[in-house]
Amino acid sequence: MSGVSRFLRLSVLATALLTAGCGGWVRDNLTQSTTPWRRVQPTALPVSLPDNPQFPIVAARMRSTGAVYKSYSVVLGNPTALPGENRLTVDVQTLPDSLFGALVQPARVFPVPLYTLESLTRTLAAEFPDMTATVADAARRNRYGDYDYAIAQDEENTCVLAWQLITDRARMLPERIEAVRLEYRACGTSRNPRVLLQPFDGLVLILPETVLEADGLSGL
Amino acid sequence: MTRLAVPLLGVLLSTVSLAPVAFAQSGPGGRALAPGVKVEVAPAPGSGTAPQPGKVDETALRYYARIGDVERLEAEIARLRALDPTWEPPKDLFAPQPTTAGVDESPFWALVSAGKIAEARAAVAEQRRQTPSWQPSANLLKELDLAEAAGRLRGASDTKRWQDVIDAAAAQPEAVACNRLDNAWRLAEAYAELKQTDRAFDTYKTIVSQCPSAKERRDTIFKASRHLSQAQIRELTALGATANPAAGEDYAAVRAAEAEIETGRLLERAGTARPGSLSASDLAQLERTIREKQDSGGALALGWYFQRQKKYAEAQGWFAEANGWSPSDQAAEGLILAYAGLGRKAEARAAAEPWRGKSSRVDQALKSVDPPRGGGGRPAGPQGPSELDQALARRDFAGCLTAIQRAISRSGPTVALVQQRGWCLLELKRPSEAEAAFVEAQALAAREPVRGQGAARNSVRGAAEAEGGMTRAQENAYGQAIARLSTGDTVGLTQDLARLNLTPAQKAEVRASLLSTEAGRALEDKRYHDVLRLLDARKELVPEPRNLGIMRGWALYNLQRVEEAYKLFKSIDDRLSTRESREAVETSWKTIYHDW
Amino acid sequence: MTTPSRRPSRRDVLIAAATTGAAVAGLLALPGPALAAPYDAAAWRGYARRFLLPEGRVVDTGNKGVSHSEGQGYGMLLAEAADDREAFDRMWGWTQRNLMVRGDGLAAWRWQPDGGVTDRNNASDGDILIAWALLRGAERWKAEAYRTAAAAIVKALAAAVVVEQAGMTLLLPGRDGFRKGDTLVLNPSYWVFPALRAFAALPGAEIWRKVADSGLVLLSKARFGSFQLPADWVALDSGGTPTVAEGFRKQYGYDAVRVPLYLAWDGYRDPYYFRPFAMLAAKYGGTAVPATVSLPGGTTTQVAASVGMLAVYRLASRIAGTGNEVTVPAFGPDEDYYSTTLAHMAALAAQSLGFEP
Repeated sequence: MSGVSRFLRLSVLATALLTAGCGGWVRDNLTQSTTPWRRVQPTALPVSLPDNPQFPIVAARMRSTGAVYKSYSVVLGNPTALPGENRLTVDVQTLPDSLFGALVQPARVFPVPLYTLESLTRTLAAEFPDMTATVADAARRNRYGDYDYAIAQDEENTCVLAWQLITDRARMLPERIEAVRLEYRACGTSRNPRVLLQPFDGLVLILPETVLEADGLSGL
Repeated sequence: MTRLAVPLLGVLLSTVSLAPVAFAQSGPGGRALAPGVKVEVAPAPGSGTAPQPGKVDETALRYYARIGDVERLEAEIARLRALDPTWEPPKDLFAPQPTTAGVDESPFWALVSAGKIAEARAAVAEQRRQTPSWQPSANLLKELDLAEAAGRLRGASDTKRWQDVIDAAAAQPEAVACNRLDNAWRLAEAYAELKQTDRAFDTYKTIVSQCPSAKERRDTIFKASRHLSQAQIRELTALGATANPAAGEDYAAVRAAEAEIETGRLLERAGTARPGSLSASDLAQLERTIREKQDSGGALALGWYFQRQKKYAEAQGWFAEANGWSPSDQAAEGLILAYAGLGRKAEARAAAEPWRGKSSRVDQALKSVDPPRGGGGRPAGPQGPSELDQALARRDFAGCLTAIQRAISRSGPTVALVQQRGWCLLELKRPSEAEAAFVEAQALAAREPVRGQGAARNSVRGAAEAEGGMTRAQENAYGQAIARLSTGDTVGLTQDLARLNLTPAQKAEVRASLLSTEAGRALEDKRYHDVLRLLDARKELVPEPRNLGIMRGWALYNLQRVEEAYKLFKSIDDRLSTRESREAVETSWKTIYHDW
Repeated sequence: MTTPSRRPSRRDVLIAAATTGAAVAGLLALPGPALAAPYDAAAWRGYARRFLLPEGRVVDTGNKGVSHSEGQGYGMLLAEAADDREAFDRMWGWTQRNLMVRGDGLAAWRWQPDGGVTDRNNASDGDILIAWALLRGAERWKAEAYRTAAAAIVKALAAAVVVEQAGMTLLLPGRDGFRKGDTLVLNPSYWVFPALRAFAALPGAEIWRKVADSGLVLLSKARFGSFQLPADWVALDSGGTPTVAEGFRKQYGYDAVRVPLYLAWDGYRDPYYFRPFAMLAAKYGGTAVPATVSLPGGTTTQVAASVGMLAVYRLASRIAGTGNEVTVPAFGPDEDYYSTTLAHMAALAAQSLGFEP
């Protein structure tokens, strides 16, 4: 029907705006741009890692993109002689708290899906040059649910890359948080990738509001 | 350069609708240019089949006179004179020409000339509303149709709707012609993207055989190299260098294009190659081309290719060539490391001399000649270079870490070893750990007593002084600054810079890096005035490298200072032409002349 | 139709009406199928009987009986043209009481029978049509009060929805929600050109001339797909480059079909601006023209253009001079509000240009 086709969209748009407040003209590129990285104390991170002498925290940094994204990078010790830093990155996407924020959202700082086969292949080649990489068939599970990972090896070393997107807003995430993205990269001398994944398995998110753990939800 | 002739007129587009090889158009005058290519030249203003003396087509000339485009007007006069030396420009060139129904079309032409096609359409429609009896001239409508078709073609190409590119070209064949070469390139690209390689190849062949400009033919071959095989590029080059030569054009540069592309491909492979992956004949060709062109960048790439294979003598030869053709700290770095690999330390130090204390890469390379030693380090002696020396000479930074780890576990950390660990970590793209290493080295330096014996070199120069005239403390501070640059800590580093214990040269280098990083951010944020401000400040400290010159150009371009941008791009491109610089020149040129 | 349809689609109904002609001609009892209906007092009475409620509300029968600011504007224009001041006043009164509740002089865009105004955003074309109808009413009935009311709306519009972007003076479709960062979302069919011309003639309202000029530029730029049709919803970036807007149906259709109607009504004759619509009609033989065309892809819907849309195509084809005739069938018995309105507006436009309707 003609009318439906014509007016549906206007209605949807306008409704969204009414709930948010009043929309004004916003011409401010800078509110969406990414700030440079700055050093922070490990205690200021939204994540705590289990103590691990192989992977001590070397440095912690954060930056923000618009009012919506905060990104944290934790550089961990690398006991190998391989190139590249061991690290955990955490991107926290909050819901915009104003119409202003809703209208001028910056581009998402991580892609969804986090990886495609092509982008994963490129990433693994860049992260672990000259190593043989395989993507794990089965996901593993940490406190926040399933995550995927890949393993790269050469004669002496083993590396892992793990990634996870937490979006369960109904049960796990506080209402202010839209999503949390985690990525972990570690190289070590152990042949056993599970040892390398131990920090990722044991990490705990510390946001101002509590993030519930996936396992605690299984009974719900 | 002939910007007006439209010799392709439909020729290119025959590839749209007909079988790839069927290029024939109506009318006589078909010429076989190469096996499988038969091109007919459609009559175009003042070109094509033998122009009659005294019958020069002045349409375009009058058009440019009317719109006041002096540059194109002069080019057209020159072109017509070349065709017919007896021809003189008409005296009434600037006299108003008769117009239809009392409507002066010049405002519309002005809009067309400014590239404001939609505005011209709107103005025509408004005029027609006010003067219903008026008909716009066929010329004007044609120009508008063409410009719109070109816009559609570009829009489809920009958004990778390849079939739409081909459809747009088919709907308005004249939008694809030598004087709209960019459209022809986009059409060829669309074919290539749709895996219709034969049609792409045919389109490129038509361009290089029909468009008279040598530069355009050469650029076309470079464009085509992304899509065509080596054999096809060879054929294209042969065609471009010989077909339909125009007077006054030198096609030598066209002929050289294939070799340049091939060199580029081989160099790219050499850069990533594992030992021995370039065949002997590839290598020989590469070496020949690099020598012919005295291409120091190519010589450097070859040097590293050999250095990685521990063929130090060959490496040294190429680094020396590079340094001879164009002295640089990069060439010196290579030379030092190659000499170090050969064990010819005196020559290595001599090669370093001009850059000592001025180039961090040379200072770093020197460490492979005179590596740092802690108390437990073996003195260099008749037994040959140490494990660390060898690793550094090979640029094997993983080996460097292992060697240092071994030395430290043998006899404890020293300032020099921990510092070297910092430099190697930086090379391994582990800047956070590198920063920590320099901090550790600084703490060690505060405790480490001055050693009178052990490393004899140190006792001569004083233990507190390292290479390049900087102190230990300065080197530590410098290492930390470089590491912080690599981690992106520009804000913190900018704040701390004044307090850091750096030599003036180091301070200038770090500040220059900070400024270029900031300029890059400003460009991303579209703060173009800031880009210029930051680059100007940087230029006070150190010369502007090529990539920042191009950044400056884009900032100028975006500030509508297109002429300046073009001049800058052109001067960079004239020194060394790369894809990046060619595209910058092309884009700015087209913006100036609305030649999209 | 060759196959019996399970459910009569819109297309079936339409083609049945076209082939059986006057036999199923609806309540309006208009002449046969070959001619478009003229617009006259009888046409207005038929329209009012079907779509105008006693309290002055124009009902969108195709849309759950809601009312829009746009419908009030169309109704007032048709009443003015039919010289029915009593109906005009009823509609204007209802509009003031029920839609002009925002406090900024503009009308809420929609009123629902079961909730009244639930969404206070405006639709700029509704406000424009209402103001234009008031100006025409002021002229016809020498009523200064209408002119004063119109001028207030025009001023409110200029403050709320007229913006500058990339050297153009543009019309936001509503006050809120049509800017996404640097990009504007626009609706080309909200440029009611003859209304804009009338606005520009008001004292101190020269900006509307710029809005109209920029509308012509926009319509030249925002052409997509093989027919080069305007999209219903267009995104315009800060550099002035238009794209088919994301987040909307990417199509030409029920909205943008009004583009040639308003251009024609304002006296534009340049075939360039009418050819895309004429070519679309010509491709489908001027009969079962698809109601929507996806952009830039060009996929057409199974639903056929309504009688009112065909009336617009007939007008566009005449002006484009493409030589094709468009057959406008008689209204079906349940011809909806939008189709009927378009048909009458097209007839009015043609009459004002001196065309046969």
